[in-house]
Amino acid sequence: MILKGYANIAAGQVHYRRLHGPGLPVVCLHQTASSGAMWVKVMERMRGERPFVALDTPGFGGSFDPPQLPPSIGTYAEWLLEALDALGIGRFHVLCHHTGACIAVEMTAKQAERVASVAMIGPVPLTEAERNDYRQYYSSPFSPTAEGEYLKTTWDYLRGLGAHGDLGLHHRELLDTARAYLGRWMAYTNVWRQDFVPPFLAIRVPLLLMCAEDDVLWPFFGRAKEMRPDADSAVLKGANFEPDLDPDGVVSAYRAFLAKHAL
Amino acid sequence: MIRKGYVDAGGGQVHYRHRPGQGTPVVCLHQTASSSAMFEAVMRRWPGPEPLYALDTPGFGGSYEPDGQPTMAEYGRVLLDATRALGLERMHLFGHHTGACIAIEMADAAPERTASLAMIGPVTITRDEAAMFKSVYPKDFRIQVDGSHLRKMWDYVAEIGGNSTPELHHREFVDTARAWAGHIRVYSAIWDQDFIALYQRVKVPLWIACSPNDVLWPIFPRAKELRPDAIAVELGGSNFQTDEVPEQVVAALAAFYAARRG
Repeated sequence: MILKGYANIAAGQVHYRRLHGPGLPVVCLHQTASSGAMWVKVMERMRGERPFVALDTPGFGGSFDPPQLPPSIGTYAEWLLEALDALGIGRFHVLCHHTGACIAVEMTAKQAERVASVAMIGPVPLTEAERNDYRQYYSSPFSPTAEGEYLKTTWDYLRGLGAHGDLGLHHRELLDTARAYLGRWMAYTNVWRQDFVPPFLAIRVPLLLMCAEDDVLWPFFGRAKEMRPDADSAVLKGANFEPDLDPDGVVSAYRAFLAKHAL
Repeated sequence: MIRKGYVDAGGGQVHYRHRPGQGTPVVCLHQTASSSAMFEAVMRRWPGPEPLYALDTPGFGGSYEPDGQPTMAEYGRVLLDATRALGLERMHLFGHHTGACIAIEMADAAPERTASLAMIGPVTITRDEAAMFKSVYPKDFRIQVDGSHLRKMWDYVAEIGGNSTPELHHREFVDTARAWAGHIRVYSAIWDQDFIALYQRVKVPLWIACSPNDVLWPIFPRAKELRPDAIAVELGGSNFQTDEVPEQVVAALAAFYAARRG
């Protein structure tokens, strides 16, 4: 059974979903502006195979709201490493998606000895010019207004990202995105500030790269693979919501990766 | 410092907020379709010494989604189990609207554990009035592909006074949208509850409050008449007193508990 809880760190409470199992835990990091809920289908399919912990990044889901804009993606990585300390987790595998991948490479850069492998959906190896280009589309918050039109804006934005592939998913993402209207702005501000490539190139553990052809980060998937010819890779379905819309594809690729490297 | 957590009860995990303290704890139960977030302003201002617990009813906030259609007594039983799992033996119950309907079930089922019962908006409706309400609630908040339910929920929160600030409107919208099915479940069960019968037989000290702009204000005189022994308080605000006039709520309730301590 997946159980929810909070890990208490100095900055606040980090919310998580946890599933017990044998072996080294898999730590799941979500995209902006989702929450750990985006990993439930994958966790359910791998029940009994591994322990899982899906963390809500600060500013998202049930986790605390940063009182101000965090200075960098590295701060998120520090918070989540502290949460894993509080949960008694030493070494772990990382399974991450989009912004979760940006946080994962910083976690690996800070505490490489704790990370046994990295599997990412939608790596983010953008140039500075590309990041500046993306910033304008993914930074302005959908802030509440008296008329409430921000809700329809959010609903349509999620449709554009492919969440309408499942009505329950569309609703859940609407809730997560509305809840995290400030968290989304904070995370994206830092995502476009981050140079993903150096920590990505520095990863020294088995690496799995995944993406769907209709993911907004698909144009950079080929580049990520070229940068890391040693990495395993898999093409998924499901637009920007692969773990919800193609959970079997995610699980199949992830199982094969873990087995190949005897992880 | 308010800490959030989960406790196992009923069919899953019940989410709660907690502010530590000393003595008999106060258990706060929210209205439909809010969550324990509606007690944060009160919890932050609470002078103590009582510890405060605010629970999310199953189907709301961070709590599990119940199977089927619970009765109000069943909601009460699950939340009594939650308080037991939290290690609370005797407690003050404090409910707002639907929370009052659940709290009175808890007081009725476990009088020995109930130190007092406080209610904002006691639901002392007759059977005829219940039938009338049943024709208006639940609202059809089912999720629609075109997103039209969002506007419906946003406007509904405004209609009942949840738009005094954009932050409150937003929070109540998010809670309402999260609990679209919980809203339907509770408002399918609540009109079958005989609140007046429970209200007349509950033996614990009573504190009741309402606001002239609360939808339940028209029946507040009846609540006072039925239980002249209850301490009755008039508050400002509308249906969101714990956010609109938290100082008034805190002052009146803290005085009630202070008097109980003697």
